[in-house]
Amino acid sequence: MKSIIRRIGLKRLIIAGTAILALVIAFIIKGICSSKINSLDEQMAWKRWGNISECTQATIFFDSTYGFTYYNVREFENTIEKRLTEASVVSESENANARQWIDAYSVRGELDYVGEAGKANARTYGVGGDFFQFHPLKLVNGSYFSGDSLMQDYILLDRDLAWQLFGSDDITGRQVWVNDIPLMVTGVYDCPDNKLNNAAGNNVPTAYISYSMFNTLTGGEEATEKGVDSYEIILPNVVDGFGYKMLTDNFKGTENKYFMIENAARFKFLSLLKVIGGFGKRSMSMNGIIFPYWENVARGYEDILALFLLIRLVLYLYAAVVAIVFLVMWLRSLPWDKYKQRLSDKIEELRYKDRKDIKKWFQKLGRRDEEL
Amino acid sequence: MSEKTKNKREWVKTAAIIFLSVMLVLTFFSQTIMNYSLPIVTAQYINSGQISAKVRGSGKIESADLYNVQIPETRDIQSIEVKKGDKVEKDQVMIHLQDKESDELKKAKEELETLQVSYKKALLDGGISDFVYYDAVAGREDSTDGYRAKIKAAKARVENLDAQILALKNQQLTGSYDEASLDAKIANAQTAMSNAQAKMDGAKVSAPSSDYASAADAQNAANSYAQVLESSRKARDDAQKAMSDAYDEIKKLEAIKGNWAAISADWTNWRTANPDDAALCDSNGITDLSPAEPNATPDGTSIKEKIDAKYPTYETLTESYKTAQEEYDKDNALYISAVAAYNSFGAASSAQGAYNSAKSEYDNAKSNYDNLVQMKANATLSGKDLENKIAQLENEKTKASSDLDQLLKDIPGEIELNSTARVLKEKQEELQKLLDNAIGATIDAPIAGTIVDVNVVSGGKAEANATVVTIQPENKGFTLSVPVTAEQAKKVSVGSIAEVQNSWYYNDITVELKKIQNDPANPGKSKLLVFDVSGDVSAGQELSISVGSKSQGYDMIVPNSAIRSDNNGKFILIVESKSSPIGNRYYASRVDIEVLAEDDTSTAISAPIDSWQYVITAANKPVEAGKQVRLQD
Repeated sequence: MKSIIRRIGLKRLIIAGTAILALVIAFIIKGICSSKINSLDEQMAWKRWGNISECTQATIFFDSTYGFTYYNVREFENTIEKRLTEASVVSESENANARQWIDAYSVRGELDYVGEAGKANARTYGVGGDFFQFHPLKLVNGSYFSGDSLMQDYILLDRDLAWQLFGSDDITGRQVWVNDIPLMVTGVYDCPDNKLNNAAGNNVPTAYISYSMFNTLTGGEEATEKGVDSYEIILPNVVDGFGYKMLTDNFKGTENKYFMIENAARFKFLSLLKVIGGFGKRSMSMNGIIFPYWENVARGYEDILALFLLIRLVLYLYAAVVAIVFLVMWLRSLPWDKYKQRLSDKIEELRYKDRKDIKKWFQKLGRRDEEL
Repeated sequence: MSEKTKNKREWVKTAAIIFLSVMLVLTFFSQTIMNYSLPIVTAQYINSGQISAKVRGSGKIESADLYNVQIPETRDIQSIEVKKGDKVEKDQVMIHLQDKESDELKKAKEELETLQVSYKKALLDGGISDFVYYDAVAGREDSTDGYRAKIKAAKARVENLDAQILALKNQQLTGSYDEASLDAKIANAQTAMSNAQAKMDGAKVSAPSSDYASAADAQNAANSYAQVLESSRKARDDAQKAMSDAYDEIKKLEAIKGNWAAISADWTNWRTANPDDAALCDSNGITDLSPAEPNATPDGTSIKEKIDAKYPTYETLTESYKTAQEEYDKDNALYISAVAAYNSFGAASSAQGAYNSAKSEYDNAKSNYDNLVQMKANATLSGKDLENKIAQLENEKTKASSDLDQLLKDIPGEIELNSTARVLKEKQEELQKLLDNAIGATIDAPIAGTIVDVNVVSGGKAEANATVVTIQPENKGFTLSVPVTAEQAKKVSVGSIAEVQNSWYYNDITVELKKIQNDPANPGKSKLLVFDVSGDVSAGQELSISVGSKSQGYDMIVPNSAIRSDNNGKFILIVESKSSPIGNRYYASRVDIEVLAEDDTSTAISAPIDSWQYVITAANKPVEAGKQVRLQD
């Protein structure tokens, strides 16, 4: 050990050690970041849906004045189906009932609920499509509901709201009332309790009901329906960017009234670099879009992951600079004169050998001429 | 051995001991450590049982036959004796009115007065001739064709006189006349007159149907019979459908009976494979599994007896169908007769037109002939006689022109007078009607019942033909209309009894689905489930109900939370156990499924697995197929 220290030098050894340590830390950070990204269920629905190389996930958040109604959703779904058919994108599943793509939409509001043990005001999301495929809330009991359910009077409550309305969370099948209209509890879920979730606005009593029921309860008939706040979709991505382009093409011309994000790509290297690049401008908002909690959480993690990416880049850079310096120093310490002499000797030897070969060849040629 | 070498060996030994100790600890606790990193899942066995989808909804109870009390005139309200919820007897005073003429009566009187003045002024107008005055007073009115013929005749008279004067003046100048030409003209005119006569004789005027006073009456009757016919056609079709359904049911039961031994031996599978037939069996109380016909049913009645018991119903329905068909035929005959009557008016009108046209042609031809004959008679005149004749004809022509001018004034005047007279008559009838319908100083209850709504206030006005009070008649039922989606409507059937939510709150309510109809508020998209409600309820009350589809049995039923889906379709995750030296390990395994039916909590599935499998219903983190999981304690 002492001989190594003597030979390399303590200072250089410490610098080399710190570079290796930087690399190790960078890889650990990368691992932690990947683990965190995979834990963001709302952003990883595309991974759960199918082959990750063949589908993408995107979300569109609408300005409050956009008015993307249920009719528009159905119209858009038809357009997607048509475009996929035109592009000859067909399901490869052997199951005839398998779907190639899914979507979900939601609108946010506040409603007053009456339960068997009390009353409460709760943030309410009116959801449609395969909303819970995108948002797999952690169920304490019961089940989710879907836009295909026969009845659309289901409600999914968080534990906090269940406690306020019933004093229990084992309430699947019970009823709550809004304006004398009964809703059937289909399940109770547990809300994640962490700093970022709370800051994102997910720390208040919350309920999920169907989109049509939300409109009924808020007095919104078809003609006065204000439209959805967010629209999420997972669709085939036969070539990189195919799915996302299909979406942006459809909403061309109204860019200032919505915000679209490709969830499947938002935590990739280049996307996070853009977050770093947008430092300062990112907080500015020029439209009336209010993000739901899951987007706020995702944006929070985007910031954190962008910061970690920056740290990783610094650490990689440090390790790379040390490696280059060491490489240069090592190269400079080599006995280049000796190598040069050896090289010229070798060249000379080869030349001599070549001359001898040529002489032999001429001699051989001369003998053949004589024979002829 | 040097001290240095000894130290080195000690160091290696210590490192080996630490390494082995760590490995040993990890080996002992590997299961525990691994368990903490695995997803915890809850699971339950696949069940068999019934699935019955429930359709829930809310609506307001309405009276099945509300009575709206209206008055035919606008009156001021003095006081109101009843309020919402009050029970009233027939003829009980509900509202006192102020004792003065209604607005409508006052207005009608004023309008009639104005019209009478205008009519009298028009009659005394100096512009019209006496015969128009007397015609108007007598209520006589000519047709448009008549007026046209009168004008034509007056013009022809002026023209004929003109022609005679011209001919005489020529004769005066030349001293002779062309007798041959005049004779030829007379002969031609005579031929034209004969032809017109023949045409007039040929135009046969047919009389319209005597069953109806006018074409409009016949048309109204035809329209009315068409509605009756449509209603009886529907009744006949319904009766025919009921008869066919009863027949089909008997045939199905006959088929089941024929195959009873095989069916009862394989009862459960047969029910699953033939849900409609199974439901038919259920509704007929055929539930016994014994193949020992004839005692196949729990009440000891054989299937044959069950089927035989259905025949009277079928026969009754057949009789109903026959009666409905007879009714339909009768209504159809009435409709055809009314349509024929209407057509007869058209034919009569058309024939009359043809006759009038031929008569007008004949009149013209005759006038022309008379004129030519007169001209020939005048041809023998000469000298002073000729001059006198010309002067006489000039005078006649002046009078004829003056008559024509008067006629052109009289006709519009007569039309206007007649029109005013008609309006006047209508106004008089209207006034008489108002006087006949004038109500007294009170509004009385026309029927006994409960006041549902009072739409007026004391001191206010009761508008004509607007509902003043709404009464729920005594002993009449209530209805409840619940809007549902078309998909939901398919799940329920007429005749189902609905459950009232929070039934503990109500006393003895029965809610039965009476019909499923299009929702007028959202046609094409949603349907209305119309229930008959009986019991202790009142109109306007909000009621929430749930009505279930016919339940069916399934072999594999899982909780809804067990159903997952991805781009390969729907699937469940089952728990598979594998033995290892340190205990059992559990793995999640994917099974693709087909959803057969679902209700609020459960889903019936079809899957290539045994029914005793353990299916994952919830997990604390995402579970991937093929990965190890930990069962909830």
